[in-house]
Amino acid sequence: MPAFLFVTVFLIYPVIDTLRISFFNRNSTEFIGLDNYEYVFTNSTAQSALLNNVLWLVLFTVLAVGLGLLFAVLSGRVRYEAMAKAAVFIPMAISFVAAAVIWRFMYAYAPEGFTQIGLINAAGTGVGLEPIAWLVEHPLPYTDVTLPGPLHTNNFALVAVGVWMWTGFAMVILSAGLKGISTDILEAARVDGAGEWQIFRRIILPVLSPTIAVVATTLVIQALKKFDMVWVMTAGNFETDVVATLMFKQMFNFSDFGRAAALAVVLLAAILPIMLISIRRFRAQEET
Amino acid sequence: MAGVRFKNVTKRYGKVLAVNGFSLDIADKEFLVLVGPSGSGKSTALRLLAGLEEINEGNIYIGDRLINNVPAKDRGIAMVFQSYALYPHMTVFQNMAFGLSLRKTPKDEIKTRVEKAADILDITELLKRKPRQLSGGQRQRVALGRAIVRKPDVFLLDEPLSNLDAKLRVQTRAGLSKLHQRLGTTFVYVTHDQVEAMTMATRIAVMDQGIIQQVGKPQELYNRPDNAFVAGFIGSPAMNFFEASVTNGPQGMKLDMDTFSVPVPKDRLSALNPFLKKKITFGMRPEHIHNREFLPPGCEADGDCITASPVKAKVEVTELMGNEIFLHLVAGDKSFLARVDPRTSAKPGQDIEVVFNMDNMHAFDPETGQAIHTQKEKGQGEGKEKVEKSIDLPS
Repeated sequence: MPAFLFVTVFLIYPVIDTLRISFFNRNSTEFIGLDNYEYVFTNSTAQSALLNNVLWLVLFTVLAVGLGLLFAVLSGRVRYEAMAKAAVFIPMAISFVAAAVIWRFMYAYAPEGFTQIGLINAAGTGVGLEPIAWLVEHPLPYTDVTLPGPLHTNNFALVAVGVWMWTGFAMVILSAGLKGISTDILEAARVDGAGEWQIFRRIILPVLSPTIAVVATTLVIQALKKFDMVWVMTAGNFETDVVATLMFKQMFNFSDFGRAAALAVVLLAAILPIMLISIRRFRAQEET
Repeated sequence: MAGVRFKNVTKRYGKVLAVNGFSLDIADKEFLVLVGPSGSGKSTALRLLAGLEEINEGNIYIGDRLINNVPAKDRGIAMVFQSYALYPHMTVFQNMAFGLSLRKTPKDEIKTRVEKAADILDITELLKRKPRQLSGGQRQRVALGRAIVRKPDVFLLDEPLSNLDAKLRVQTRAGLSKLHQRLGTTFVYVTHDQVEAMTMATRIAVMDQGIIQQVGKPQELYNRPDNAFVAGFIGSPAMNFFEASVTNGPQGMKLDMDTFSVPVPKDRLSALNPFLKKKITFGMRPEHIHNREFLPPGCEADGDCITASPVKAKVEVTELMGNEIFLHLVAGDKSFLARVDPRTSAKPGQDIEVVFNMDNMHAFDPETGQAIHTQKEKGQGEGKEKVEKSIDLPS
């Protein structure tokens, strides 16, 4: 009973109240129906934020899981395993804001002819390439090609930092999962006639799939909630806004509680099914 | 179908010699059991044959093919693991079909072969289940099935019964022997359990510290162990060992154990003569120590059927096995075990007289541990060697 009370006061009430506020005007004095939701799905800034979040969701998750799996498999085969893993995992230990600051320096841009203090542009100009404003530009680097929607260079640059931070997490969990696979099974597969790639694809990957699902779920939720790095590096400018940064802006810069609440509800609606799926899977695993 | 030949095979892990100068010929269709305590190198020898470990020195042949550098999948072997190593995400059918599908066997043939193997092992109704839905015994049969469908030249089994309960183990033992007869394939079987070795093997190789101690038919190992290790390892309960001095008295040669002594049978005199006034290790199996009241059939009336002398001993513990009783006895400072007629009324604390059947005595050099064989036994040994060499194997 106290637990129920606790959940009601701190979880259910805020959710319901947010839902209520999302149907009201900027200072919650007037009921305006679905106007705030209309803004979320039709306003170009809000649309761009939603699409950016989709980009984060797909690219960030796929890259972090993929690279994490790659590092987990490869690091298990070398003698300096602990060191290699530590190197990949260290970014995870840094505050996200600090990491974002570090990467602002990495991406820092000065016009051609000036001294480049950003490592990437310094290296690029060092080999004769033109400097690129990584956090501003939309066209693909060193080309005139501009892809539609969220497929912009500055978004890719932001996602890359997210991947840099979270690959270590994916690697550690996946590596633990890999170590849990009995060597007997792998040897049995080898005797059965499987090569290394077949063992990976037909034995390791399916056996590891529950672990991969856990990691992917965590990363998907991270991607949807992404705020800190975007806020520090671009503050959502140059069409890099994600739902969370836009929500923050609506709330504190434009004092539009209604729109902020509507964005929060959309975010919640996106995360909720993923949470439910992962909870169900967790329960199913506990039963077996 | 093929035999296996190990020739001076050595495997090192760092400075540890896991398998040391291992030479063994396994004939086609033989059921060879590698037996030894844990750490004796038996599993390593099997893994070398399977291609799961690399050989440091020596050669291994399957049939007449040198396989040192042949990958596991191309060796024509199938292996059953102690943990069964079933693929947890596949059904029983998929587990059994995996090896064949990797070899791109046509689907119809896979289905036929899997169903046939399932029929042999009586697991047809389990084909759609996942391993986690099976009992230990069922998993074990699936693991066997996975090996059978591959139709390998050689079956390798690494302690496949050790995770089963005692009753199932006895059943499966018989099942494996039948399977061997039915398939007519070479079996190489690793176990630490000498009972499994004795009951299933056509030949046993006893290993200790990476070295083969003796190779022979189960009966040979039991009756004529080459050294004290084999004597102590084969047979359950284990052989009793005593430190004894060989002495010569008015009644002829005796083995003196300070607190009691026993006569040496006539056919052993010449073999033990070089050890006169020296120490030997005297071995006696528990089943050859009888309660004086219940001598073996045929001996009651004629005391000469065995060379024996009564020994007084105190009963410490009795263990009733149903058809026999194990008596834990002590004579002076010597403890030993006797396996006697269940009608024995001996109680703990009681003094009884037991008889050592000296015709079945074993003697070992205390320094080398080697058996001190009579001329006749040596002759048998040579005969055995000749038989082994006549087995047709590549050199």
